Amino acid sequence: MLQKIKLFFEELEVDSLESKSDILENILLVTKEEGLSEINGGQTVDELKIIQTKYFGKKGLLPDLMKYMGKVSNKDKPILGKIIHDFKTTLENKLNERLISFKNAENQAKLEAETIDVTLPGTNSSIGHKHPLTLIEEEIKNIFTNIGFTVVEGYEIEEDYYNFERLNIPKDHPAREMQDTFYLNEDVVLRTHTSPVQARIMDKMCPQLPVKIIAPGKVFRRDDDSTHSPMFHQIEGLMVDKNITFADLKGILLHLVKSIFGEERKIRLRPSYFPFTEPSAEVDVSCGNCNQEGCRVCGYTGWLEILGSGMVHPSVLEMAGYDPNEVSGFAFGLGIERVAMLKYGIDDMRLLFDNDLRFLEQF
Amino acid sequence: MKVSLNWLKQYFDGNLDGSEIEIILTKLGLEVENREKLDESFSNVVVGKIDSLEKHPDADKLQICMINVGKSENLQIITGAQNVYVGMYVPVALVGSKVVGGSILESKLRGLPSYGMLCSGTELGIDASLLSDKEKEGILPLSEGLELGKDLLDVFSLHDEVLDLGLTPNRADCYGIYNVAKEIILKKDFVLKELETLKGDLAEDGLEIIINNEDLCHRYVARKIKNVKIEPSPLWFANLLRNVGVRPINNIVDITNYVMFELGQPMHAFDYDKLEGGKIIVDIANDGELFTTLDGKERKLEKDMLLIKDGVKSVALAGVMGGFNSEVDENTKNILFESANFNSASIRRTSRKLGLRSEASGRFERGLSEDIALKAMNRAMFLVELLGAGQVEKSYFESYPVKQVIPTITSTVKRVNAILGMNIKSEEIIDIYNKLNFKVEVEDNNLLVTPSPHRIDVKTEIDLVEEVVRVYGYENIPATLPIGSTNTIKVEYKVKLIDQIKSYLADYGLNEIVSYSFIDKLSYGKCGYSFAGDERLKVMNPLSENQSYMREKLLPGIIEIASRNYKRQRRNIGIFEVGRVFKGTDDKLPEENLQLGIFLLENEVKEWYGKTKNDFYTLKGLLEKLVSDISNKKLVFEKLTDMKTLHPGRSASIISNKEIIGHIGEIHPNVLGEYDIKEKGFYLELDLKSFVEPMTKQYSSLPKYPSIERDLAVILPKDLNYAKIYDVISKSSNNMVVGCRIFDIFEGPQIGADVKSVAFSLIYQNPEKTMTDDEVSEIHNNIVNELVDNLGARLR
Ligand SMILES: [Zn+2]
Repeated sequence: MLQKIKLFFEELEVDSLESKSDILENILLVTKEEGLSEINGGQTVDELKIIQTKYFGKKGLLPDLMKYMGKVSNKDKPILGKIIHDFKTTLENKLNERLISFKNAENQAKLEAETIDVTLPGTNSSIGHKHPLTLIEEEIKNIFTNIGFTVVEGYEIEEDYYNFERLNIPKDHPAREMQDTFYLNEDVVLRTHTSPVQARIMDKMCPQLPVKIIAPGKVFRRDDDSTHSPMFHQIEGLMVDKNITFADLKGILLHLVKSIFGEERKIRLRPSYFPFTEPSAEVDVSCGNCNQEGCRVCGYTGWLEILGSGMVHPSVLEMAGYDPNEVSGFAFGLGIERVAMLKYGIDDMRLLFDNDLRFLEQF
Repeated sequence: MKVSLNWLKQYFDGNLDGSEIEIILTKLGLEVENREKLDESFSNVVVGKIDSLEKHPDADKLQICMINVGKSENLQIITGAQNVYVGMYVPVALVGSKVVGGSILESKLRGLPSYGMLCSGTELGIDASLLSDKEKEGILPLSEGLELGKDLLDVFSLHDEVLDLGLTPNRADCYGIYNVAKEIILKKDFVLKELETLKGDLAEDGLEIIINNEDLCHRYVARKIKNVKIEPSPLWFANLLRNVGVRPINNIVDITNYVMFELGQPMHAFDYDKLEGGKIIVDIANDGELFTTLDGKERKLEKDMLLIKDGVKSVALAGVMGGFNSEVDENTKNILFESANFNSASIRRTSRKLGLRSEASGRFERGLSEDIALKAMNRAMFLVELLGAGQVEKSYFESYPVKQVIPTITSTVKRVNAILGMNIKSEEIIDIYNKLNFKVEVEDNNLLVTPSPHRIDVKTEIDLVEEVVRVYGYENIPATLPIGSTNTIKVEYKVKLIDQIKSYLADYGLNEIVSYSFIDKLSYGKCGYSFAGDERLKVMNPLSENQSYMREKLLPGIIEIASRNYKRQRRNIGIFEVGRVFKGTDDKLPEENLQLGIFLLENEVKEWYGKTKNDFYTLKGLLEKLVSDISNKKLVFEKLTDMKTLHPGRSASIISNKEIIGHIGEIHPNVLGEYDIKEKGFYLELDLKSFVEPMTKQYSSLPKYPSIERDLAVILPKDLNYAKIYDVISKSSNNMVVGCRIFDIFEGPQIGADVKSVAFSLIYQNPEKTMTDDEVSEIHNNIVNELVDNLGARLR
């Protein structure tokens, strides 16, 4: 090949490379094909290095070719330059490509040797859980804080006055029997509901409006069986402002129930009686277990009792200093255990207070 | 309150089944707790008469009965019952019938065939409380003369349903079934039937009624019956009572019970001839007075208990129970019926104190209208005549010192709608009042409404609003959302803090528990506390001793739960509780303080990556992480020694701002032993009172110059604690040490007794410039010198 090239240049007349370039290219094409197949045939990095030296080394083919640059006319120089450049980059690219692929394969092999068992459990992973009652409480608090209610707290040990009298339940009122009460002394009780918070917050706020609060907390009643616990949790809601209506209460409760149990659920209000609200309503949610066909969970009624509510009784407003002719409000009280049991399908209330970790870890 | 459908349906002309009635009552706010069909406990049981009895040849205790069940041939039935006799009317379960306990098949008893069974009350599903002692003895005796072969379901009128109503205190009127019927009429266009009564004239003389305590007795009505014939009530009458759960006794008692269930007014019958002095006096008892009630028990009375006296003696505990000395018995000839209005609170106190609670006292306790007293009397008199129980005297006696006040309530349609958020028309509202039998007068824009006398719960406008919407239908209330002003009540930090702590601790891998706020006072001792329960925190009426004190500490509840889980073979126990503990005060209310308790079990386990376990420092690490997550507090730990709750060598007070805010440590082995926990446990309690909202963090500029790390290993006295060492390092470093990490602590014979080797990595940094090696060395040496001089350190 070198011989042929030498001959070609010897025969080349000045400024005629343009017309003869295809001859030179043909001579180089053969060499290029030879080089490419040689590179493809290289099986190791070392073999490739030898090939590299053969073509690009000091005594290699390319420096040889370059020598002719000095021997051709100025007009022919760029033509020759381009031909040599094409020849060179083709081989060079191929060579690099092969070298990189060898390098990659080498890295890959090294990393594969470092393989671990990805299916082993993670280390030091202890996963904690909030109590299901907390989860429900937080969910309900969120629903109400999102619509502008403030979370407040009351006392767990409360004066008879706030637990009963301020809620329109004087001594000897038959409603006291609806809630069997624990007493610390004649005037002090373990609160039987979160409702005393109503009186306390209204005392604090009056005459300001609105009063928009929810108050979660522990409450106590003298009852202990599979559906009652002597201590349980309630959330009280209270909204007092001008022009609050019974229809508003229904709207808010519908929002609450849909937020907790799902958009498809319905509510039913039934007339009921609480001394501190009037009109009062017991609120049922449609049974999600049977789609209201009737099942064991809902006692074949299609409805599940979930909370008590009503319009704040005028006397309760009055005792707090609000004028019931100017201001109205609604209140509701909901059992957190009840909601937790319905939402999570818990069938025995005692599980919530047994604190078996196998139970708690499910939430 | 039980309501029989057969009884209820007597009062209106329309027909409704049990489920329709249940729906109507539920919509009106009378909760139906249960609905029971009475004809499902047996079938195919008929009236039979024993024609002959013979001993079974092969069994002493069995008898062969030949029973006439109205067919041409008698049935042979073998029975083991002993109370049978020839001529006795008995319930006969025929072959193929069903009774409580199973189906009856043809059978052989000791070789002889038996074609059915004679039944006891229990086998017919009759509640024991409805049977007299004689009826409980064996086979249920039936009244003689019944039609033989008649289905017993018809004999006892058991094709009936019973609704159990859970009545709210405001609707005490519905303890009378007639008033329940009035409710049905509100939703149905039926006509309510008038009750038939026997009215009388007010007597001029003959019996003087004196009410000494007008507050406790507003009205007293009495009427006399002559030539009384005490006998069982007719079956139809007795059946109605039985179906609502009342045991028929005799015609007179049954009439008082019937009227009580019909109108809600309890009544009482005295043997007129046992009354002396021609007087009835309503008066309070003398303190300590002894009185024998008609159950034969002598009772000691207190002075606020209301009594009925005749001219000479006490004859009844008003509204609670009659007296033994005036009891109606089989020889009674003349009767005085009482229908009175007693004060509900007084009756409640008396019946509570004496433990005598009955259908009657319960009705008085809930309150009755004065109006009903006379109506009930007139109704009872009608029934006396109807049942032929005696001759009713023409006139009645009465004292009515405190007249019933029936308010006239002013209301407007606008106001009703404003509260409801609805748009009910004036005519519709008036129509509702009419249905309720409330009188309405229209005056300008006002409606003047006078409730029906039996509705003593309707007193003010809001009560009318409730009546309107109740009858209009809660299902017709629209659901709207309130339009209101902006709420500006700020949330207390404590509320946020609780949520945060729970979230962080759950994130750290702990499980939240909720324990009871009341505990056993003995648990303080078990937990090693030196106090035994503050009496000011004692529940007066606990459900049990172990739930009788409001907790002053969280540990007893937490460790109890830890122990329970431990006993279930659980070892990975990391639990916490955030809750209130109480402190007795001399104020009205005890102090309520928010506290956090964390329990960790040592739980040493081999994992595939090595051994893991919890120790004091695991818990301390959790605490430090938590406190830095929720506050800017700097904590100091001081070793505790005088505790019996925690290990004396491995416990500390948690101090912030010179105030003890909690304790942390390994739990004392004795305490763990009390709870059967056989490995180490760690506990921390933290008062959350002092945690206030952290101040907004202020940025401080980042160091511009590099830091340099130098190691230091010194030998120090063994009992010298890290806090003191660090104190010296910090003071002698000219503020150039910005970090200190201990990477090794070593004790051992190589370095000598009573000493330990501690190795630190100190990080030096000058905020002003790059420190040179020489500068670092100078400070480093200074630190070493100070450690040597002040703490007796020597270099390793
Ligand atoms: Zn269901």
